[in-house]
Amino acid sequence: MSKRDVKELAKKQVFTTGEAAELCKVSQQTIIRCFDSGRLQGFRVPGSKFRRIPRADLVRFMKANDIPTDQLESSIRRVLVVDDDDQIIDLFVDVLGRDDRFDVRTASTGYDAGLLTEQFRPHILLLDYMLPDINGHLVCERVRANPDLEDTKIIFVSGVVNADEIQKLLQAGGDDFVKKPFNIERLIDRMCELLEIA
Amino acid sequence: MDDKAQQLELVLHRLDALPTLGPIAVRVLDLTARAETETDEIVTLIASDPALASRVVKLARATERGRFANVNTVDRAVKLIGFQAVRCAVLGVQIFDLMERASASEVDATVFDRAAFWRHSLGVAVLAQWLARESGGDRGVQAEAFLGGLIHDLGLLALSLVMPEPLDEACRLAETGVIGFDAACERLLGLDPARAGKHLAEQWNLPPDLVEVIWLHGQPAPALLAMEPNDMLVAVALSDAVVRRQHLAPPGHGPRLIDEGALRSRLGLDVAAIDTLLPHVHRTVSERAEALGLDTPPEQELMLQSITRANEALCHMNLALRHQVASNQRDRATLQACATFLSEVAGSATPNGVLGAVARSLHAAAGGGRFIGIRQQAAPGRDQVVVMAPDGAVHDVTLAPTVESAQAPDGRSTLDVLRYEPVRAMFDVAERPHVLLVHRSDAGTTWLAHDASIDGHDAGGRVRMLRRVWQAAMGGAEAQATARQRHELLARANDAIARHEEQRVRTRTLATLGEVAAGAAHEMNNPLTVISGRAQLLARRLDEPASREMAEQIIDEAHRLADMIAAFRAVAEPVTSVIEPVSIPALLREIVSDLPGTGIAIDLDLAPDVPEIEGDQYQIRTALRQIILNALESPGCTRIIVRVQRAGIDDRLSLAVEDDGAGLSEHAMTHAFDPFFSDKPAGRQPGLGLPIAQRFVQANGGRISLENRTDGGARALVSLRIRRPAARPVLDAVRGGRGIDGA
Repeated sequence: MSKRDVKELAKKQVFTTGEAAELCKVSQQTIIRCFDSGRLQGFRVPGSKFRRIPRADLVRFMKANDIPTDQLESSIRRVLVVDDDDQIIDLFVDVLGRDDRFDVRTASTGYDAGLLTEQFRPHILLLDYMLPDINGHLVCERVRANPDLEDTKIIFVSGVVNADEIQKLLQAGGDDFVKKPFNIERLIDRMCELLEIA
Repeated sequence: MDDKAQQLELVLHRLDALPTLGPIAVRVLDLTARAETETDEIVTLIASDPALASRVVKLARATERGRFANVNTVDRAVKLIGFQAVRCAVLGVQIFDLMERASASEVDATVFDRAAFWRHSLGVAVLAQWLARESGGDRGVQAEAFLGGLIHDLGLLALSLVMPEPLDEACRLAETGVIGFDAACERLLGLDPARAGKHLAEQWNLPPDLVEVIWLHGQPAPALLAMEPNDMLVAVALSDAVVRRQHLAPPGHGPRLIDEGALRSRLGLDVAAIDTLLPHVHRTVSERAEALGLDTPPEQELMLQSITRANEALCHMNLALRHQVASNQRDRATLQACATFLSEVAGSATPNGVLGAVARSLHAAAGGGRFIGIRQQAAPGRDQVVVMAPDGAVHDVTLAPTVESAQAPDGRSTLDVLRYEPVRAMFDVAERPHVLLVHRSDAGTTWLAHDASIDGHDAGGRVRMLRRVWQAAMGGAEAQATARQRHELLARANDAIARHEEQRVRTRTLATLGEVAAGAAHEMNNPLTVISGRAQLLARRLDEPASREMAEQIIDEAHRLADMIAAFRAVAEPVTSVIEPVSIPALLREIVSDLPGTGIAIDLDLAPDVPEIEGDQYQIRTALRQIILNALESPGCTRIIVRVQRAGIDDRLSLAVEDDGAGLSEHAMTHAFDPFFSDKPAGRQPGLGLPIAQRFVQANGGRISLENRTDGGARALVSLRIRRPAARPVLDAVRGGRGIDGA
């Protein structure tokens, strides 16, 4: 399997036993045994005997058995941009989409942001404060309430200038605040800093 | 029953005991009261008493008509002078005889001169008769007027018989001019002669007209005329006044002040008519007195007696005048002292000023003395001691230290003033200063301790008079002082209200602005983000330097606009301060080192031991930084001096930021603290620095103002609260970075 194939494989959310064997660098039989004995969580495809393993279960299994997860946890960082302004969304997609280091998804409401966070498991949220339904403050609190997302970084990007409000956002669990309009380079530098990537 | 009532009862009892009119007089009165009475009946009656008959004939002869006719019988007398006149003559003779008989048995060594009394009565009778004639009365009326005049003072005569000694005393009192005769009688006898006469006349059943004459002839003219009197009463009252004026009167019966003019007009007479009659009064009185059987001096002697009496009256009057002059002089001196005192305290005298004037006034009245004032306030611990120079000039006012142990030896309360140290320093406790109570009110009491001599008659009297004036002036000054204080308090309260109102309006305006700014910040920052972001992406793609520069300009301007929005919000939003101790020197050094290099020298002139202030460190730093930046931007500025020192006794720290630039125009001075106002060339920072500085300084209890220096340039003055030893608890609120500093 080429390096490119492994990178593509690492992006997947659900794996076959063969793919899991590939990533864990063990035989497929070993994976099947572990699956059947319940040590590796997963499910069978309805109407067939094919076994399928969700990404989170595979990662848990690998960590439990001291198998390096380097290949799975690739250097590509998932970024979720939440803003109700299409122009801002487009700007972020333009800026971050050109950068190989980032995999960008967007949401324009607090509700979508919540859903996508569960699904997409972003490494970092670029979160606007003033959203049409649930405000950024609440979204931040919900993310912080979920232990599975404890490593998720949150940068508030907003036009808010009131010092007290900024303080409240940071207290709610925001890692930083960047005022709109922003310097793109400085924003990316700050993201890399938080994500510990070069 | 009191003494006066007992006295009155005694007098009335004695009056009742006087002999009554003789049978002939009673009969004559009875007959004349009936219409059908014949003249003969009267004539017969009179003729039955030869003595009476001869007196009546004599009287008839004494009349003017009788003088030219040979009257020698009663019958002829009646025909000549008329029935009515004869009747009057009979009554007159009877009453005269009666009273003379009664008086013969009484003590005769009295002041009351009965002969003088009768001469007065005759004078009044003669003049009244003439006045009746002049006013057109017939012979009957004239005769009645004569009789009325003759017995008008019947009461006086009666009192002289029944109570000679008290009446003498009344005469003496009236002679000295101390008290009127009637009032003296009232006081000593319980009733005046008029009432005594009325009592007797009623007792004797005299005709009502006569009773009225006896009772009312002494009434003042207006009262008399208001009673619609008969002509006889008016004639007698007027005659009585005129005859008294001629000093034809018994002792104690001086001239009577009565409106003769009113009475004359009532009778239709003028003053000339009376003046014509007067020269004949004395002669006629002599003639009639003889006819009446009165032992009377001839006319010349009568004149002489009148003149003697007039002289006596003049002497009394002179004496009284001398007393009056002396008394007037004293009053004048007192009034002058009053005037001097009032002119001194006129206008806007303070209570202490009035106290000084009182001391001077007392000094002048007593001719010397040392003075010290004490103003005991109702509020404890606020007493004042006013030390005065000998001339009463206030030269020291001390808040009084009291001497706790000083108790007056005899415990007299006025010596309470000796509790005050300055009083004890000026006066020996043993010599006990006089203490004059100048004024007492709810607010306190004012005393004047002094050693001036005010025991003398003149000084004592004057001080008594002046004291009321002093009290009034002090009361006025204290009221004025209180009013002034209240006025100041009111003015201050009004100022505070105006300031609060201004602040309230400003706060409300700013709150509205804040809401607008908050909305604007959100709405405007998104497009600015897109402009800025896209321009950044564009700049990356442009290789050509000029185009790239243009893209960068777009980025810069977008950020400048965003900064302005942020600053605008900062001005408009309410400020919450976190109070903590702040060292101004340290803060200033930090600010100066962080400032962008401009080539302008910034010197710090810090007083030694500058105390810490209390305030919000971030806000104070921002405010001071803005003020210094503002000075740096002043056109032509080459040097800035920041001076810091403690402001006088006030617990404030004073900062002055001085530049040597162009100074401020009047317009700039007025609007320097308005948001977005800028007097600087276009294209510079938006005018938000000073408004923010003002907001932060005021939020921390400070004050800020601008002024032009006399030697050029401007000066910003800031005063901040020095930290008190017992500082307020420091709020430990967490504060993050605030994005507006250095906007």
